Amino acid sequence: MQYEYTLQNRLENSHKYEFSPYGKEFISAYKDSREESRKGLGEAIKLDAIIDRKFESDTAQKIKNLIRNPDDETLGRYIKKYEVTKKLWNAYSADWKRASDDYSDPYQYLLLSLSCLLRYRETKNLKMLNTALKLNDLLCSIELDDSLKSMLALCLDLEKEVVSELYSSLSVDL
Amino acid sequence: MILKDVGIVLLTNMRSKAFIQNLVKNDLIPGEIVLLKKGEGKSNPISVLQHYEGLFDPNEEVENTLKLHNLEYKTVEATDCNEPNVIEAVKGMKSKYLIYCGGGILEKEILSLGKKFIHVHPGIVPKYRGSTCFYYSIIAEKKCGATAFFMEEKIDTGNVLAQKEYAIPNYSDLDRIFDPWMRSDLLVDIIRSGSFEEKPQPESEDSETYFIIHPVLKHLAIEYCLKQKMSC
Repeated sequence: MQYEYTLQNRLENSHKYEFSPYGKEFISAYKDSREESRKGLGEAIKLDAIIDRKFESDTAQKIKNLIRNPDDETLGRYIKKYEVTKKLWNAYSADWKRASDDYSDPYQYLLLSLSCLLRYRETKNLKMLNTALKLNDLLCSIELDDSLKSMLALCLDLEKEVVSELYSSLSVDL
Repeated sequence: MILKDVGIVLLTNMRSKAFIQNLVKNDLIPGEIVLLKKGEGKSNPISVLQHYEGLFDPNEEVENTLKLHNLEYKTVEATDCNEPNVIEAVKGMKSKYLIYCGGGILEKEILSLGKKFIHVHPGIVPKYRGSTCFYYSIIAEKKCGATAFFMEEKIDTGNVLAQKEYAIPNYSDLDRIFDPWMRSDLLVDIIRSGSFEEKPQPESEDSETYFIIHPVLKHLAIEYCLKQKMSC
């Protein structure tokens, strides 16, 4: 079995996740796929290096700010935007309407994944982990510039940590 | 017993199968039946395991159930409740209460026809709103539940008719068997009670809206269910 969620560019060909597979073969395919994606990404970036950075897209900058100043309502808005459209636009208006024609900036997806994972670690809100898993599928399915790889490495390391903890909290083998 | 004021808008999905089979089994016959169907509308057969027996027959097509029990129904060529021909059909129904079996998020037009749509949601609201909630509650609380409510434009916020908690299942097909069965069980309860007394959902800081579950979390929930079976 192949892990279908990273087999093609999920930014352009999104997956609905309806009636998804499960079972030992599936979870083994997931682990193999993540391991393969993690290879070659190098060392994970330190969180401080991200927090100190300025991002070009308005959405990326605003999501980054949520890392230092968590606000679950705003994070929930970005999660909803992503879950419904499977895209994040570079900017949104004050009433959360799309205010850009560009959805291709990978920083937005990386930062939302990171924000969700960090917030999940604090709150144990499964909604956050759920979206992070989908974002990481997307990020593993696209070509990233070398400068972005250390951020994906951090996202995948965090995902591995929290997923392993969650499985072990229910005494289920991963 | 024919339910004078209760109709149903069926599709060809598992939820419709569970609803109509369990209503009929309990002699609760909707007074008006509309079936939304496009083409053959048949689903792929699934193996009926021992655990499923008595819940409902996932391989019995909705139309077959209707024919088997000589139930009158009107077919509408559609798969979404918001399509114009469905709106026309609903307009023509006399029942005040209509059981919703899926077919899109109901929009303003259909919700403004003066009918009350009964939806059975697979989660205890307001804590579990949104999609595939039973998986989330199995992981977070090792239990699950369902809520029957009247639908309104905002998703999963309508006035509650009943809520019920369920033991976690001991089988793995939660999407196609457990979810529709659980909903049908609560539906039978409220229809049998004959009371549509409604109350607003409580305000709660715990309220959350979930999105369709990622398979890594779904696998965890299912494995946890199966583990409980093994330890019994």
